[in-house]
Amino acid sequence: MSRPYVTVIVVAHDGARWLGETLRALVSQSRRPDRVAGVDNGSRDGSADLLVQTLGPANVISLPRSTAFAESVAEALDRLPARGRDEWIWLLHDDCAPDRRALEFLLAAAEYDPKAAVVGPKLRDWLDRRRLLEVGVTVGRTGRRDTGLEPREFDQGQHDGTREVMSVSTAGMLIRREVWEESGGLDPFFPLFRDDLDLCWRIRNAGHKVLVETSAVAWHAEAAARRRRRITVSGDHPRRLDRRNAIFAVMVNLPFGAMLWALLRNVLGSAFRTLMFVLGKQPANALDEMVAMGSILVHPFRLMRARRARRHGRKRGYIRIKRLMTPRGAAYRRLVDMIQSFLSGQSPVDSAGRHHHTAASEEDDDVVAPADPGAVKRFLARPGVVLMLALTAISLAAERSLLGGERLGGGALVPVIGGAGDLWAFYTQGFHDIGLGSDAWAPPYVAVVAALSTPVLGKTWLVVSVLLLGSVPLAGAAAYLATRHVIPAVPARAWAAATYALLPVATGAVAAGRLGTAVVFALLPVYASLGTTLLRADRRRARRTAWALGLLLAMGTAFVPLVYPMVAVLGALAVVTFGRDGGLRRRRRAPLRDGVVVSMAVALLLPVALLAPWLAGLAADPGRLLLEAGLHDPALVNAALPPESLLALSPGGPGLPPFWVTAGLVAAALGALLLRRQRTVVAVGWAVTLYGLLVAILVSRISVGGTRAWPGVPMAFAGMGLVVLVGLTAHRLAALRAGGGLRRAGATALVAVAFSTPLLAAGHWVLTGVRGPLVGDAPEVLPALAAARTTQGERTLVIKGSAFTVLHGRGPLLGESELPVTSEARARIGVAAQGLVGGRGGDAATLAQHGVAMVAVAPPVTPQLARTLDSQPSLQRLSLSEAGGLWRLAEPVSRVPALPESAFHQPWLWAQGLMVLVAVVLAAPGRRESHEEAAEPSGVVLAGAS
Amino acid sequence: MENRFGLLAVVIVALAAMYGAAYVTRPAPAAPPPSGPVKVPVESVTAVCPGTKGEKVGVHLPGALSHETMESDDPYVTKGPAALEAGYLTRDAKRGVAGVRCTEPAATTWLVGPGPANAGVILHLTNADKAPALADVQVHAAEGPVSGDKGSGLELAPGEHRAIDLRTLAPSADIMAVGVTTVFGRVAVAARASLETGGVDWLPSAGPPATRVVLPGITGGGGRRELLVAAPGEADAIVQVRAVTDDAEYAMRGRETMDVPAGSVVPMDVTTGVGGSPAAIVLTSPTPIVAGLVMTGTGERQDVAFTAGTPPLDLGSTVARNGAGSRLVLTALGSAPGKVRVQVVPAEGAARPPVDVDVPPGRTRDVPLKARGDFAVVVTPVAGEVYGARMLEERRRAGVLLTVQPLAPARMWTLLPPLTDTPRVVLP
Repeated sequence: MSRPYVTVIVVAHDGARWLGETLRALVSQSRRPDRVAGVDNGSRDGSADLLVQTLGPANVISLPRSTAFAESVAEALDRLPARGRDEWIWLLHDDCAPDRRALEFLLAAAEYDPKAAVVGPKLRDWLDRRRLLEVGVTVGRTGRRDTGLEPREFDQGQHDGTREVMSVSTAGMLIRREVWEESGGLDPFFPLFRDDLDLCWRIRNAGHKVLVETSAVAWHAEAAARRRRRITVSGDHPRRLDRRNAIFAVMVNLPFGAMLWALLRNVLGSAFRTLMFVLGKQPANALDEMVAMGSILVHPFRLMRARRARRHGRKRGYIRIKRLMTPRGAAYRRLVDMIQSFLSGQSPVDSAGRHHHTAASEEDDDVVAPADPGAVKRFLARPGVVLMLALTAISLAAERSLLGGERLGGGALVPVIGGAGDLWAFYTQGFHDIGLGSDAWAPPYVAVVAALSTPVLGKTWLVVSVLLLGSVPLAGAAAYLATRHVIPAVPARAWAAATYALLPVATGAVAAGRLGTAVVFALLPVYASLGTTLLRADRRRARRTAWALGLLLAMGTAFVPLVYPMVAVLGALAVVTFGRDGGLRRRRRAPLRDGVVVSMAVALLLPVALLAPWLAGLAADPGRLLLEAGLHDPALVNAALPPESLLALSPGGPGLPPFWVTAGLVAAALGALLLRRQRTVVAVGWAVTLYGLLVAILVSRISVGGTRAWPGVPMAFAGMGLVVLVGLTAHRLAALRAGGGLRRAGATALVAVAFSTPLLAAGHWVLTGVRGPLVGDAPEVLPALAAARTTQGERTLVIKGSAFTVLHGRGPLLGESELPVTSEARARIGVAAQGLVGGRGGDAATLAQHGVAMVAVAPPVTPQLARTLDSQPSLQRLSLSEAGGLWRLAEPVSRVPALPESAFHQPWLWAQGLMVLVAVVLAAPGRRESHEEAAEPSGVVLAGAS
Repeated sequence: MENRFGLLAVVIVALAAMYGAAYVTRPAPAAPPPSGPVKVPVESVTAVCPGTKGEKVGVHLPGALSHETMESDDPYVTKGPAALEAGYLTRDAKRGVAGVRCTEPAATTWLVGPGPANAGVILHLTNADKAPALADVQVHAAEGPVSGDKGSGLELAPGEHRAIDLRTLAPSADIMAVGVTTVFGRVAVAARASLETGGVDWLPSAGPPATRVVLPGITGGGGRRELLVAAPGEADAIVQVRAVTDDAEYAMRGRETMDVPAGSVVPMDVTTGVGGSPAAIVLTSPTPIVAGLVMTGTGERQDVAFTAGTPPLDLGSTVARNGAGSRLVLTALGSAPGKVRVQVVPAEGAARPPVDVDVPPGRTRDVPLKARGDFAVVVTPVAGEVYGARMLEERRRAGVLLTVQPLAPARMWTLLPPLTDTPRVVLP
């Protein structure tokens, strides 16, 4: 066989930094090329001179700065006549230095496989010479580039071997000139990015092979992709161009059926990515994504033209190409990888490879990763996770009586039934045809629970169980994360989180089924953390934090309205006190920091705006401000809360530990008052505590609807103040211990006193368990027969002991029992029900007028009551057993018409949804700009030299 | 330099102040809300009497008395607003005078009186409602429940009336207590007893079994007074018997207690115990009992009258049909003196001005009603725990004809158990 003829084309553009070495490498090749041509695209740094010096002036052509790589190569080839069948073109970038024997190996590979038309070398990094960049590249059906390499993978020969690949980079590509001419060379439609992919795809479709020869090595600086030089070839933003070219290359080279499918996937994927970018506050990226997809879609003819040009062999070639593309499951695997690395506390890594625009933001640090102990193990070893697991174990042990039941309910919690769909329907209805009918606004916490249950397949019970039963670990985790930047020492943080999570308020809320307090209890540390950020951070971040705080405050207010005024007062005071620049002394004089007032106003006004009509209802009946989500039961409140229990942070009611459990915390906090340093922190902590206690006293002395309010949330404030101040001064103990002798003993004693609170609280809770009114399997109060007979909205009067209520085919949903009912109908039904039970005549007619078709009696049914109801001439017994009794009204039942909802209702719901969306977008953490990116102005990349 | 203890002192003072404030504002333990029955107005009244052709029924509504003559022997049913009261009297010169009160249909009715072996007893069951009723009749005699299954499962269609000769259920009982209970629906129950020795009357309803039973309206004068006590439950009853007469309240000598075996009826002759004075009998027992009393007149042809356990006059009472010779026998129990207001409403003309009647505590008082013709009498409670009955006495040559009607609660108010509307019903 004759010796192949090799023409080398070197394209340079402002690459003098690398060109010298590249040319030296070219000159010292073991297999000397037969012909060398240099192309200079208007370099301004002396690249042209270097080329001329090395190659001679006759072999160098100069082209304008805006020339694309494809055009440069085409131009050079035009001037070089073809030299027979066996001529090969070796393309080199100015920043790509081949190994001494690279050409020799490439040619050997080409010779070994006569069908090979393109052979590429193994590309390694220019600076870190062992790092692998590419051993062939493939693409997914979404246009995602895939090198098949781990990020920052070192070359230890693990990918070695000559094999077929989807495509190779143009840097160091050896291509048969005949095939080049036949396929038309690089498509000038791709001024940069994916031109190599398109070319190789076309060549493969023509029946040739594309190989990578790993014995041949080239070092590539990827100068354009890493923005080591500024270039102009296209007005478009490179990111947008890359995305557009990727989609285009895939669209034009796939056969029709596969293309349609890929197009659909791309449109959906693109929409999703745009949404993610918007949420991630990267509007530029979102715009690029949209424009890239749009430019493909608005030019169908361009696409068709390009497809027509590539139609030969496309379908036939696809069978072989299919197995070289990224396999279909790769996207899911990538997602799993990202979640895993996120859980183990690392930033999500991308294995897309560097020679690619979207990967350009990776940092260039050469940190060698430590031995990987496994993502799960790493995750479990974090102290916060350990703490949360311990709290979860404590909670599960204490709540053993509640687990595994069929229906969680009791105390303030209505037995949980229904799914997210029911809750959404209830929330969006203008008129609630439940009980006796109500046109009041549904409590907004219903929407929160519904929103949380929607992703878990509408399982409301799961969400309620996690929020209520898991309130201790949730609060612990929230407190642990919230003190991240405040309390540096991990043991102190863990102590603070555990002490806070096990405060009497938490166990009391769980025992009494107070979902509202449980949620707010977990939110309070978040409020504190966000509040500090709002006061301290720079303007942009403070504003974002303000939106987040506003959203979460609205959520907490929906559950426990009292939290809003309490946070508002603290927030306003904090702005006045800490919203100034300068030290503590000078603060009084300094003006309020720019934007702090606006940020706080955003945080405090957003809940008002979001909850407006419901809050208006509360304002009309201010007593309800002190209540919370769930039923208001006198049995859950200590009507005469003794003063000493207020000082023990105990809000009264079921499920509370004795006073000595919290004594350690109070003692430690009192001890902190004796410190000479950090007096401000201690004073602020105690001020918050005293504030909480004062509100607690006020609340516990106010009677709402004949029953005293429960001071749970104010007590949580008080507890939080103590916990934070002790946690913040904990490091002083280390100094005390270092003192030795008596001081050391004193410090040890203090630690023991402080730790006694969480340990005793956990022990007491686990030992006693949850005995409160909350139970795991609340019975269904409405007999199944009554539910089955409710076909047209018939109501059922349910009598239990000396109480009754009107139900409507099912038990009440979360929040339904709290709707105010029109009192007139209620009074009439009340008298009629009484008459029915007392055996008075004529009451059935009244009930029938209000749509009551059945009377159910919950067990135990006294024989006397059963006889009375049996003897009612208008009642017919349907069933009577130990499980309860059910009677049917013989009178004609009139259906109560639904009232028309107000015209204001639907528009308001839309407005509310929109406000939530806007607030979420404004609150979402934005992209962290890396220093590299921020420092260098983004340039436009030249196709030729990337 | 700041004082090290300054902050501590400030905080402790603040805590002490809060403790003090909480201590001062500490609310007194609230009294539990009253849980007794509540008094509510009656919506509508249905009054049912067995029919006697040609008799005149007195129908009393507040302030007005009207009369209606029955066209047939079908039961007389009237419906009206609250406080409707109806009843009639029959006079049979040979057998005696009898009075009946039209009763509200009920799920449970007890009647106590002479048994079928001594008297012809006809039980009238009427279903006046729109729904069917299923009733059980159980007859208790001296030897216990005797009727067996014969009286159970009586179906009464809406509007149906059934007259049952109790001889078919319990032919050998000489004294009896009849309980009529419904499985579903309500029935109005009345029974007419005509003794073989002469004398006739309707048995008044004895009220449900209770641990304290008061039998008011024992007329003064001669004649046998026989107390009948039944213990319809599962347990034997040991009954304390006390008499309240016009001058004393006492346990009768030799008749302080009586033992009533479960399910049976036991008689006790109290003629000498009350000694011919107007009286009431108070029975207390640890197990629920029902009781009635048979009063026999004097003379050649002895008429008979019945009284039965009756609730106090707390809700007021009305007797719609009275005649000449009517009197009230009122008894005040407890430590407080009783006081009632008595008003006579004649058939024609305006109602008479009401008269207050005082009854000393633990005494019985006989109050003659000075009115002629047909009239109604309205008794309204003012003070104390008062029980009473209306007695009607006609002195004939052949003997004294008498009838007694205990003052049953008016159907103006009813006591209902408390029932509150609360969503807490759905909680476990």
